[in-house]
Amino acid sequence: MKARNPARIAARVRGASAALWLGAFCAGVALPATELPETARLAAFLARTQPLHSLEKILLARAGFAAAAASVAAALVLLAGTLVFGRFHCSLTCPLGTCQDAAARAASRLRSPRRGPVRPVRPKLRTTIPRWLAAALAISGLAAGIPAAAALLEPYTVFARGFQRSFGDLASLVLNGLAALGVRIPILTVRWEPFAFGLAILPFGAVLAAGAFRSRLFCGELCPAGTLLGVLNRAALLRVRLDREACVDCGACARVCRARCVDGRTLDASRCVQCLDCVAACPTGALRYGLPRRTAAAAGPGRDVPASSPARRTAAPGSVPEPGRRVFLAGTGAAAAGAALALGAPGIAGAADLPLSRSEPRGPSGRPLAAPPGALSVDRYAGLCTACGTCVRSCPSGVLKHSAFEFGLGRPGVPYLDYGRAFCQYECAACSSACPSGALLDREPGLKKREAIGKSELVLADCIVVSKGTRCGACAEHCPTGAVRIERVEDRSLPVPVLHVPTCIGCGACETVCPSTPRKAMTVSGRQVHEIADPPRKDAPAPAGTPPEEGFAF
Amino acid sequence: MDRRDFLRTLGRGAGALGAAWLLGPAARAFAQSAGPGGSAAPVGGPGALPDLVAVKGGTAASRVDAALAAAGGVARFVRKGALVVVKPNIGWDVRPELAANTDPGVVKRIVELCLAAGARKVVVFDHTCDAWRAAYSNSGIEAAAKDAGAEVAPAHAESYYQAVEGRGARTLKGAKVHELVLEADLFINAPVLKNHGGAGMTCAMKNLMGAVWDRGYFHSRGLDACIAEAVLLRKPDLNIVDAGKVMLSGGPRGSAGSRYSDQRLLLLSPDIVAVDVASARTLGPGPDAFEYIGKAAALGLGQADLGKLAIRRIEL
Repeated sequence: MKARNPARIAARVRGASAALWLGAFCAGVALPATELPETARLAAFLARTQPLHSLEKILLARAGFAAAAASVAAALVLLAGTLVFGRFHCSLTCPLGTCQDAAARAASRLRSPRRGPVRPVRPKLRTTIPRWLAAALAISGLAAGIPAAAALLEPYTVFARGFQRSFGDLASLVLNGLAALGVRIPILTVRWEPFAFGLAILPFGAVLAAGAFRSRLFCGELCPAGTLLGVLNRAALLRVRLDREACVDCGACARVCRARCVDGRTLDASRCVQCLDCVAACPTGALRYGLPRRTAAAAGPGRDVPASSPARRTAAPGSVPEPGRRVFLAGTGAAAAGAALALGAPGIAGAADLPLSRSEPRGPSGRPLAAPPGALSVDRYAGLCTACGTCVRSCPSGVLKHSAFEFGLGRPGVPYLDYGRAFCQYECAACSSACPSGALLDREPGLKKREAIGKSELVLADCIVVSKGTRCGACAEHCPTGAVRIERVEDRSLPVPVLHVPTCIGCGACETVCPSTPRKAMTVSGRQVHEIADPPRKDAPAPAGTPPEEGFAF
Repeated sequence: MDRRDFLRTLGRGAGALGAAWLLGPAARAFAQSAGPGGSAAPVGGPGALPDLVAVKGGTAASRVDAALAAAGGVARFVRKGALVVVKPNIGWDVRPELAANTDPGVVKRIVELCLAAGARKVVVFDHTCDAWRAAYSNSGIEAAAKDAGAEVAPAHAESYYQAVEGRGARTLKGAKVHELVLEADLFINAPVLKNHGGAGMTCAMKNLMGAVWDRGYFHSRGLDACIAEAVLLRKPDLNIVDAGKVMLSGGPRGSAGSRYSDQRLLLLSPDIVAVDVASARTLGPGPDAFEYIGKAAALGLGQADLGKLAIRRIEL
């Protein structure tokens, strides 16, 4: 009896905290950074708390220690925290989890309350295989440079992409409507990009729809982060535990459990998300949150009632459990199969001539696509990117754009620089610092200004100075490093642009502002491996003489 | 009271209110100077006031004070209740030390003086070249303007702009100008003088490119003709040129390698051509090096021969 009140308070505090955390994510993710840079910083900070991306950054991204320090800290806190306090991430700090809870609550308001016998919880072979297969595909895929599975299954990615495209774009349209009516707020950029929209809405919508009908279905049956944290949860020091002896079979726990992991006879600790609702609902205190008690009824971690115990044999008919060993083997087999598939996929695809990953991805213009600064190389970047969209949202000029399958069938939605609509800001490195997975690395300040992500090409015949005989200079005026300058050359009456490629960092300003039609005189192609450009040359040639500083010149 | 009395009282009350309205706010509205294109006529009578003021020395703020005082005082330009729009150069996402944008101190002082003279509102904006949030912030101009009490407005979306045809324009057709420039009672053009890799010099007339939406049009149809004809879209009522620190090379963006001249100069004039001629002389090459100055003079937009103008030179 005395377990009820503190547990109820704890469950409420957990619920309120999860809602606040989701609110912070929504604020960071919804509105574009072109007009609201503060929200982008918030999103970048919160993204670092997510488990899979932190692990990816530490283990796979070849991040230098300084670059990975924040992620190392986040990952350690999360892992150590899970081993001590249980799988709290899934019910507290995972935005996709809290979204599913909101969907389930909305759906239950529309449905009649659950009545009748509660379905018993049993470890099943068929529900163990999908989640281990998914986890292995996602994680091994990242290791093999094929992030497609992770792009569809990683919870922060699914939430961030989905929420931004649905509620975020909707909010932007509403705010733009208000601005049109005269409210003094800046106009927000909303773009129509069908593939990116589909990649965002479909996984997010599917997870929420599944969660509305079978609460937390994704968390228990597919989520790779959830599967890993679930394993740790079984070994956790403090977690929700079931005392079979004290259970009176009232079924209250099964009715409130959002992960459908408890039914009075069994508690599946690998699916429990530590929401504490069952502890609050239990009238006898059979369910409690805490350390394991050393009594006969409490067995080892994981299955609180061992399959062979006397309590089991007197269980009601219809609740025969399957032996734990078979489930373990099935899970392990699925994981091994997933890993083998993911690691072998590039080879298989190569043999079948399927472009899972393209070595030189090209855009609609036919020119190689440029990866954002911090990528080190296009192949490395595209192999680690889950297309969560945090960099795209952080970009103040809006030059970053999600691709479709240009980087390969196994690399959907990877962002690149679309120079037609904007160019990369010289003083900015927001994308590198925003990336949670390490696909873009955050290095020391100033390095970005020397990193050549692309190289420009000048076709003088297309330049309007040559073709129309009119003075221009737009490219030189925007070039931040002085790679292109307007100079007098022999046998030309007007000064023309002259390009020095080693100084070019590929920011794309020249291409964006070139007024020549139908073809631009300056075009930028992405470099497959980012190199260090020559130092900027902005100070020569200087005009004749220096004006006197004393007196007036007129 | 009965219905007739009630209606009579109501009628008298409405009449009284109407008279008060006519004498009060409406009178002010009718008395305000003409709409776009009009230059504020000097209140104190012609003759004694200079056409161009140049102030050397002191600080950014003291130069603005001295220049406006010499030109007849702020009240000569700013009517009570006017909407003042200041258009500095906020093109680039660089720190104030690079002098690629207008000195924030100059912008701040202009805003302060306009508000003190009774302006209803002062708005500051520019259609930046770099990303607008970063340029507004890192140039220091947004903070300085807000500090002084101005409203800082965005200019990054096409819907802020309206199509305007300049009377007599031959090359510049179908330009879209920012709505603030068209609505302003007083339009103050506040450029920075510096070297420019494309046009050679950027100053008062070139600064107007930041008031239109499609700059690429200027580059593609004839840069010099378009720069000159941009003045026809809405002629600035006042030009205040910041020549405190003049970038001599590496313009318009500037870089660590740029060379500078510490001129500590400020130029002020309602005549945009005159102020660009004086600026061209200050920079070095002189007005003949910049085609758009001659074109603007030919269109009658100002006086290119400084000898014909009353110039006041002040050293602080």
